[in-house]
Amino acid sequence: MRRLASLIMAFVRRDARIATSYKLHFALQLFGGLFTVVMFYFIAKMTDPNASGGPLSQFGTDYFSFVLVGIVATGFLQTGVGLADRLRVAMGEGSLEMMFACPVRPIWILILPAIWELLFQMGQAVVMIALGVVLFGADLSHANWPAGLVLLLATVAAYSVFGILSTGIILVIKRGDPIRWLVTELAALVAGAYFPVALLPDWLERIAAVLPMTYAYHGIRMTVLKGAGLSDVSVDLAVLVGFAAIGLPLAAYCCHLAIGKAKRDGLLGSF
Amino acid sequence: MGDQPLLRVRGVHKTFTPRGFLGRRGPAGIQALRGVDLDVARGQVTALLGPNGAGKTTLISIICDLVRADAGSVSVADCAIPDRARQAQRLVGVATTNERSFFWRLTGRQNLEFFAALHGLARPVAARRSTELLTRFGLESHADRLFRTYSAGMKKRLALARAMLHEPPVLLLDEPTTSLDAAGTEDLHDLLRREIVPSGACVVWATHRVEEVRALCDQVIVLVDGEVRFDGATDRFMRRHGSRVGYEIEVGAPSEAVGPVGAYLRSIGAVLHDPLGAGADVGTRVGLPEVRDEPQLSEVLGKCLGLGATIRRVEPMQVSLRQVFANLREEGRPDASGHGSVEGGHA
Ligand SMILES: Nc1ncnc2c1ncn2[C@@H]1O[C@H](COP(=O)(O)OP(=O)(O)O)[C@@H](O)[C@H]1O
Ligand SMILES: [Mg+2]
Repeated sequence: MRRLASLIMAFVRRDARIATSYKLHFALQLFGGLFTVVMFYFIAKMTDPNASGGPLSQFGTDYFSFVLVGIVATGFLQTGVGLADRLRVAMGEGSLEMMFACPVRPIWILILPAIWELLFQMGQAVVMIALGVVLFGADLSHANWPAGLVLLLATVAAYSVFGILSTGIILVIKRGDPIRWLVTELAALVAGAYFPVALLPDWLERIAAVLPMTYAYHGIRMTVLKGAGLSDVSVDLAVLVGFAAIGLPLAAYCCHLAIGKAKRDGLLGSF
Repeated sequence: MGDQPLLRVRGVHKTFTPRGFLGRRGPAGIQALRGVDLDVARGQVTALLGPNGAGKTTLISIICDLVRADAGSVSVADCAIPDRARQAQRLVGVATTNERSFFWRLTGRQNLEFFAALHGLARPVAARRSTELLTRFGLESHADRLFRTYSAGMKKRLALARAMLHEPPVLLLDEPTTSLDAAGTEDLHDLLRREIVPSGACVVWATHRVEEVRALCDQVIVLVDGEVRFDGATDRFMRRHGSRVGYEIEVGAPSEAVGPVGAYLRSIGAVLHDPLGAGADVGTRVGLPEVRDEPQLSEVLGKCLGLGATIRRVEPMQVSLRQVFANLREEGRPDASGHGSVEGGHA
């Protein structure tokens, strides 16, 4: 446990230092979500603020607040799915090889870079929410933040399943994989990032019902927009946690197989 | 324990099989290692000598559990790899040729501290150990500069320091002097003699430079085409294959000294590349293949000076490695001796 904590700290320190050494890029990233927020602020102006009984009614809110939460939650999905980006860099450089020569379980080397990403994502979320509320009048006055945070973390855990699978694929085929693209696009299109699932035709709604992200968006919105407690969103939470509990060990096992194959084929290095 | 080898490699084979798309068989595989045996004892510096593509990096990667062997066994202090790879990794430090294995946007110190954490050193210990190594490897004034500002020599030294973070009893150095100039190479050799040899670690030094072998190593293992072609003590290797080792000097002689100096040089088996020039400012390159060490060399130089010659340049002559490997390929043919192809051995 102590050992793991000190490993986590080492990775966070390393990644924070590297990230902040690109000053402009770091600032742009931190505030980058703002462009999306501003864009949706204007799109929201075209929606009828007084529309009631519409698909937004279950959240008891206006479109801008609805979509702001969607944008923030999507960032956390990306953190989970995007695990493999770091790997690709490390593999290209040769630092991966050097880390694998150290007495650490390989899976930690693959997933610990996500911790800094997660912290950064939280910072980005705080910036977006603060600006959304202060500058653009999003209404998050009822928010149950602790419950929202729990759901966000569950979302990251669930989507790390895909991130770890991508990592395994990249180890073996050494190039971008389709999982990330599919998962991200499906979430944006079907799971309710920018509009309520209720608007979808039946058959798409059925697809939405099997995507963990649908539950993530729903649960996070209920807590942040309506102030729901964890017991009110227990179904959403159960789906996300259940998905992570089953998926993470499976994904880790696939990754373990991929590492074995990479070692047999001599692929860990930068040949 | 005693003379039990710390690092033990038996019958290791490795073929890299290129695969087509979706695992379809690609072209024929590359046999990187074909039955390699190796023993390295505590406190011994072993050269792993071989031309490019001989399989040195592959062997080192297998010992670090970065590449899996197809057959054979590898163990470090009785920890078999890959079964007990993590225990073995605690005992092994590795320095690779690849300088991209550091993080370019961290300082040298930050890099060391990160890798120390991966080796399980607690933070204060990691910090202390990093500082100590940075000092010992002459990097203290650059410790807090970004790695990307380091010179080639500094990068190599940091790689050695990193390999020693956890005080491993086994050190694997993969061509630590490639891309260094003569001075940088000499520097690194000094470091090795001063900091690494006395630590008592067992060192495997992969190289394709024979002069490094002579200068630094107790034992030589020659790897050619993935097979061990020689395995034995360095003197034995040098007696056998070092016949081309010697010195090259540039000599000038005033006209009255040309005769005696020329005669003397010829008497010691020197090779004159041009006739000795008349006049002290015209240098002639002279090979001294029979001169084996520095005492002999100073004797020769003293004689030349005494005869009125001037010495303008002295350099160790490099062995033609291609020649050595070619000899070993020839001599190592299985029919040359009863029990296979390893020469020099302690079978
Ligand atoms: N990952 C790999 N995939 C395919 N071939 C490889 C790989 N690594 C090494 N080889 C091949 O194996 C042989 C030995 O390489 P290597 O161990 O790097 O030799 P050395 O370090 O002695 O120069 C070479 O022919 C090389 O091309
Ligand atoms: Mg090599």
